[in-house]
Amino acid sequence: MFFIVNKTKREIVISDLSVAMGPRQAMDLDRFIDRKKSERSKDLDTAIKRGFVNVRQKTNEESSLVIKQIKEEIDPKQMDKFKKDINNEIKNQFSSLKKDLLNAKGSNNSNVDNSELLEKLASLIQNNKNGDLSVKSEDEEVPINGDVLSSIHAKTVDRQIKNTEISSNVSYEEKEVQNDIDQNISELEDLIGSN
Amino acid sequence: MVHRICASDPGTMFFQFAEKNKNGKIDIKTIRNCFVELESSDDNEEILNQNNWQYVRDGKKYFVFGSDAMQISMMFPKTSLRRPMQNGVLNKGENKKMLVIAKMIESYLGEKSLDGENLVCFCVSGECIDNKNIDNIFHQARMEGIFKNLGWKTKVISEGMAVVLNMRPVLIEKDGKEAPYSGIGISFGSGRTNISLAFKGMPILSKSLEIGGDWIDKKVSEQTDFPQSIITNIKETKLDFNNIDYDNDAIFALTSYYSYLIKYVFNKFAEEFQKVKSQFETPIDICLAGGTSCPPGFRDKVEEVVRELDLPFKIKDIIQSKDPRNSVVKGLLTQAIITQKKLEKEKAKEKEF
Repeated sequence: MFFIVNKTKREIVISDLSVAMGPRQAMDLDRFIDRKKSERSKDLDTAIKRGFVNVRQKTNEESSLVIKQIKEEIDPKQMDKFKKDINNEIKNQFSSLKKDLLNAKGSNNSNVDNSELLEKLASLIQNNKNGDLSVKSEDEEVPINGDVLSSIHAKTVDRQIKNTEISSNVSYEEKEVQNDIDQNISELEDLIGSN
Repeated sequence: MVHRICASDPGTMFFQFAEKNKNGKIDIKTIRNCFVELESSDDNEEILNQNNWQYVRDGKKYFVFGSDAMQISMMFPKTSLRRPMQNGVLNKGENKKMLVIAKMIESYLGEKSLDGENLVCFCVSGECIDNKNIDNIFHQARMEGIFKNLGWKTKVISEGMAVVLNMRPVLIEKDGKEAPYSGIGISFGSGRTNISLAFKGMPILSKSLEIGGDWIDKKVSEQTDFPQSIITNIKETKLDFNNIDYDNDAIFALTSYYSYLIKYVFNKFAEEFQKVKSQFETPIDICLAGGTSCPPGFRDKVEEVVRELDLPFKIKDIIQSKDPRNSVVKGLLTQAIITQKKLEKEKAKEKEF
């Protein structure tokens, strides 16, 4: 299972996989696309990095087994200690970095990027103190090219009807009627041009 | 090389195509938009072939379309009649919808167009006023996908607008000049009711309502205990607003629900009309089309109901299409020919430069 979710409120197109995902839509890529292809997809990678797409579950038989084993082996108390250690390490690293940057700001080599970076770090440190290390991201609107979208749908249609055979032409009820539209056509062309 | 120009009206009940023929007349082909699925077996294949029923084979399944499907559903009681569309859009609960619709279209349009110069104009419903959960984005993209897969260019307009382009409502402006293609076009379909307001051929407002002929049939069936298929049959063959049999429960219920539908459509549209603050100071023509508008006396029924309503516009005339079932597809063909001419003109200009 390679289960991904579109986190945005707009449709997202992963072009190199020919996948369109509706707002908040979840999808198991393994059902449609070869895993190797999904893993090679640059567009999917970009979408994940930008936070548009979230990987909820990615399994293969081997990894599922490994996860199961680790879960069984880890003691919850050890896990808490492990978390604490990591948190302290991050705090120390931030403090040291902050010190270095403040020194750089005091010197003539300071620049705007440093002060922006400082602000971001300060807020991260604050969040860390509060126990909130998550990065909040806003939903972004992803524009989709109409032609690209319909090409994707065309490919989907092609895939769905592949390997089907039709016995002969479908029978329609046929009717020949008087042509009463030519006058409308010329009148409309004069009126609005050919829009 | 002569390129084909077609119109397609993918309705909930009927799927239609129109195209000019060599004699200058219009060929209209119609198929009931339904199908049945049968398991693959020698017996079934023999039955299908003996009855000359056309089918699509997909692996171990047979799919039969249109009126043939109706006959099969009556012959094989365990076989249910399925519909690729519901409420004017692709039926989300039907997993074979794309296969069925794509094959219906392919069967009509034929082999893939290699030069990509053929054009088809099809319609979609306007924004649904009374159910915001229904939209056309997916439906339209899938339909375009089917046509593009066959190498056809597409033009999409709203269903109500197709009625305007076919029926030519006329507005008399304050200075007495005629403004053709200005007014309201309504397509009373089975899945939805579509309504467009236009001025000089330009769409101003296109909306749709979730209720239509199917809704009437369902409500009457619930109230009278007749199966819905029987009610549909009574509606199509016996209902006459000029001659109502008040002792017949089904007929009386049909009349009541028709009145409700008409009232609902005009009231809802009036709200939308006021929102856009359209400046129509002179009375407007209202054009009626669509399969649900077919019973005799429908035009007078509309007039009777609308007379009682307080609408934000004055009505000049209510016009019933002479060919209500084909009005939309003919309006689409009108638009298709105009669009193709424009594309050809643009191409010629490009060549000049």
